Amino acid sequence: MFLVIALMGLMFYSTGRPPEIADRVIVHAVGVDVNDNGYKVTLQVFSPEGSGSDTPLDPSKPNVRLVNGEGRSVAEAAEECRRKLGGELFLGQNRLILFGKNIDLSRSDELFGYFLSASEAFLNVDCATSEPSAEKLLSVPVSAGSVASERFVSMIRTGETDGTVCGCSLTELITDIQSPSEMVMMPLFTVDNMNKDAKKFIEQESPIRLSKSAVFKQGKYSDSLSPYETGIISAVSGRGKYFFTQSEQNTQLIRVRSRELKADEVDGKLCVTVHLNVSPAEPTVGECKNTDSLTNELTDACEKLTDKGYAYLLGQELHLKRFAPKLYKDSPCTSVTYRVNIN
Amino acid sequence: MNRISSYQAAALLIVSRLLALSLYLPRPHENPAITCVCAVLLCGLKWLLLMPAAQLVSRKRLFTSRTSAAVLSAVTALGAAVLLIMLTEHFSALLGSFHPERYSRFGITAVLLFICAYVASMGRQGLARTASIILPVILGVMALIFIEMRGAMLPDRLNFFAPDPENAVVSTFLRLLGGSVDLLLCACLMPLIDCRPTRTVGVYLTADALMSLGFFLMAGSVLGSFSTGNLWFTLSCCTHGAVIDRSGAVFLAVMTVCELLTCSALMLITSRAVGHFFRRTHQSTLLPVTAAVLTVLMLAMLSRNINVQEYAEKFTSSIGTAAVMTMLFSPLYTRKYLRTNNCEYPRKA
Amino acid sequence: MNEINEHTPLSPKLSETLVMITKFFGNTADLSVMRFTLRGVKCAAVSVEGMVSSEIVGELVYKPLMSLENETTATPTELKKLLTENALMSSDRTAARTLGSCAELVFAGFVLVFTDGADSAEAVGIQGYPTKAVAEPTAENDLLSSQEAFTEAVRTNISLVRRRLRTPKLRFELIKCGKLSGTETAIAYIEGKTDPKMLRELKKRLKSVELDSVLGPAFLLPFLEKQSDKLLFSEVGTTERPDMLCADLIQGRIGILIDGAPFALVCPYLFAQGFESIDDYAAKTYFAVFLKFIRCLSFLLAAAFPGVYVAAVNFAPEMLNMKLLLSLAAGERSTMLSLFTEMLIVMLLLEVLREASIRLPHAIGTAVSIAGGLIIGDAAVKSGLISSPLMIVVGITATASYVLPAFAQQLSFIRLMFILAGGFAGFFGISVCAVMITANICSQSLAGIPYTSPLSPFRKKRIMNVTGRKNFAALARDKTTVSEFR
Repeated sequence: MFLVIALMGLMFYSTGRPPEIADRVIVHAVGVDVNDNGYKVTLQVFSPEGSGSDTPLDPSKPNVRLVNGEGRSVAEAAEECRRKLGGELFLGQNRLILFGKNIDLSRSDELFGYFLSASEAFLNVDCATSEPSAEKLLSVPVSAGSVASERFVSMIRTGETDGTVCGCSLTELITDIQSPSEMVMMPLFTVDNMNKDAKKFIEQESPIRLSKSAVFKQGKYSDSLSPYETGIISAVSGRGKYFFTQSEQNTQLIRVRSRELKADEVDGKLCVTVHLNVSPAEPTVGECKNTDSLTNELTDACEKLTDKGYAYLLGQELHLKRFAPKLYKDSPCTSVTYRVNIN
Repeated sequence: MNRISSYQAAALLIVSRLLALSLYLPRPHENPAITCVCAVLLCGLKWLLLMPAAQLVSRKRLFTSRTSAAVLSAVTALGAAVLLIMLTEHFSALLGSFHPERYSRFGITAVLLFICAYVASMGRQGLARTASIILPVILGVMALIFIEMRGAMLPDRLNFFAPDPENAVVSTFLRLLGGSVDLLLCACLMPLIDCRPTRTVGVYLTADALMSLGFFLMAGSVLGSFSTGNLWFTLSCCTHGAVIDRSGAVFLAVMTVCELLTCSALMLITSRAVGHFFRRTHQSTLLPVTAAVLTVLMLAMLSRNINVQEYAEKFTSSIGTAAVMTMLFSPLYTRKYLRTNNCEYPRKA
Repeated sequence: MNEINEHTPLSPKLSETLVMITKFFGNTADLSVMRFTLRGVKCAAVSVEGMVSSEIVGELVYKPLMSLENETTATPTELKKLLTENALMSSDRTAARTLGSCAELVFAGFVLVFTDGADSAEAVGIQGYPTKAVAEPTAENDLLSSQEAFTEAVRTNISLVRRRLRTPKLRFELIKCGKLSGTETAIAYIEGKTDPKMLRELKKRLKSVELDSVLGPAFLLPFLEKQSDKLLFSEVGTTERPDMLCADLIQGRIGILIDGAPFALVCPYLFAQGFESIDDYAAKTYFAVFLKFIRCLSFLLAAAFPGVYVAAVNFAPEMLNMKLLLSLAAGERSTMLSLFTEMLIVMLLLEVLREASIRLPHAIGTAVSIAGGLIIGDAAVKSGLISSPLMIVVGITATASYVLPAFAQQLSFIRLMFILAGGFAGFFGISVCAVMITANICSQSLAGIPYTSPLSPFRKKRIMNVTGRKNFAALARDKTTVSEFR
């Protein structure tokens, strides 16, 4: 047994020791913007602010700091950040990757190579877009909570349960950008003008908003989707479980209990019927819509989205591969019509 | 009696299949759903071959003469040694590429082979018991992790599309067969099982089918067409649990345990086959010598950057196929030979 | 006189016999020889001071002898007959014919009565050497069961077992171990439950003990186990509780009681037994299951928790919950040593404290342990030598390690191995260590019974006793013995 431990010790000292936890720079969030030099990366890293010798971490303080770096790729820019910080960057607890609106997502190697090469990185990390820039969003001061990036993630999760946001992970982003349609949808954070009187800054007056979704085509930002459209897309594509419907009297949040797909090939086109088993997610004041009107509303919404060219977001490629592989093989962008059937 | 039970043998074989799953390297844009189907088909094929082989081997003699026994022992030793080298090299390369700053290939190889020699020195019963105790723990942990991953699953990502379906199926099938170290293990363990080796085959192939189904379907529904190399580690980077945030280290631990147990079994087979060949049965000297020779060979190959992965699939599939054929035909041939020569046909105890 | 040895027969002449005995015993100061004449025949009583009770000697030997005295004379043969049939009435009586048997008996607390003209002596057992009273167990404490523990006297221990198993099938066989010490060793078993092959094997191993002295169980262990140096765990268990020994004997196990040791050896001892306690039989079934789970968890915590902690924080921090990781990182920033070094130092200090608490006198032992732990631990954290999370890990580990006294040695060693493995090689090292330890455990067997039974090989009937406890109705129907674990 001792010989084995000695061998392992030899192995340990021969490769070099992994950095101690105290020497690691724990990255919470990464912001990527485009500038003249290529990319500007903003890292939000952990910086403990203690309240005494027995309490090295004070949860009432933000405990973060920002650092910027520039380079021809995200990896180069991150390397500059590392040099500034003087420690090994640790991406294992990275919660969010924010892309500025001006980013070109089609440059996969420059953008994503850094995250894919880190063995500890979480591949299903949330990705989002920010307006005007990722750096501005990450610079917004956080009044409380020891982990600032958790706030962004919780906003995305809350948005998903409200049916207003559809989350996008890094794997989904890379898969979508490498698909024939090259279409990506991500949550869009915006920063309002901040109240210059810092003393009055309280949580309710937070300038960060998450309401729309950004659509990127061929890597470039093309449009934004309303919360209503985002909810429909997430419910029909299966990426979310909530959507809401609007009427003159009220807004109703609907939960999708189960989802089933059926497809028919008609005249060289695929027609997908999405059967959704739904129930109201919360008690609603006023009259609720019946299933027929919901069915019509959702089918119309899908038709409008398809007309706008957003069929890929509804799951066009996946449904073609599954139900009509020959059609997909002949033309990956074969049009698909969607019908929704509510139970 | 120095025999192992059918469940213990099945546990060892299931561990080797789990290792094969963890080491599996898909081609770029390989469809996991197609891989899943091929894996299940392969299980079916193995069932058709191994069930009758298990029946034959359990009751019949394998050899007609000392010469044939010596030849078979030599071939078994060589086959097991080659598989051991392939597996160790593959594992150390994977670990070294995934965590280059932590693990060196030399160190991993040396530690692995040393530990395998130690575990193999515990004897076949010790090894089998170890596998049967560790396996439920591994499967329980992996099941918990997979249950936690269901939030990231999207069934829409599963489809059977492939640009060239026939080629895809054939090449995937061959790649899966190339990872089937269990065929040789099964052939060598059969004579050591105390009763009902068919139960071993049934249990291990059922578990194999279920594990393959679960793993590839999970990979397909979580990752879709996204791939960055080894499926096992890629999937581990997508886990996000309630208690353990990322389960990458757990995946690594499971893979290491499976590697150790499988390679220990191969090392035991190699040393025993060498012992049968030279007609020496004292494992106290044979095992360390075998381990030392293999270690030196592996380290020499590493230092010269000899890459065995190019030939890994061909070697493994041919060795496995040869093992199964031997299991099927050797007892039949022996029976025919003895009848032709009017010899009494003894039944195995 | 010819050279005398242990096989030399006693002489019919009393004077010669007494000279031989005195010479054989080397004129030792504690040898007591009392000469007297009875009915005209010269007699002598020989004993060793301190081994016999003077009061009882008077009652059981001298008083009956004096009652035989009258004015008539008797021949040596007649006197011998009177002594054996009318005077020396005791259940523990035997005859000695050689010097060796005289020595054995006299050192076992017997009084030898010699008569002139007889070539043998009557030995009456009147043990009066000081022994400890039956006390409470020190290491195996339980709440709802007997508070008696074994003592140093093997005869007392035999009676403690006999009192609990009042069956004629309970057998004790006495063997002398140790060439110089001649330590009485009793093999206890229940006829019909114990495997005869295992019993024969055990007796053979005990008879092969070539030591000069056997002063405790540890002296016999290497002879009872094969390859004891290479194995982490022992296939022979120890217990200081008579009730635990009885429970084991009922299952077909064999107990070995050694004179001078307040412990009994039990073989074969299985791994699962280390997690059992007699309290399991006093608790409800569901609670017994829960307790087993707690003990298993304690084993894992005590063995692997520190190593896994070091591996996780150094090699795989992404495993940890973010807030936990941030607290750990903040804590480690203020310390001067690396986490691995801190863990090693603290674990070694823990072993030092544990060893000190055993060796110190009881009066100050507990106070020193608590003060040492609190003061050293608190001061170390405040001065920045070690971090607070580490102290929590060490505290949990230390507490967990006391849940399983049967595995105390092994847990200390395994813990250190895991820390080294996790610190050097992360989870790769942890896996390697785990496989090696498991393989070591799984390779053990005693008399064909695997150490890991009934887990592997799997025995459905007995697995409930590993994971919990069968209800008493099922236990009453269950007639399985340890032989079925093969």
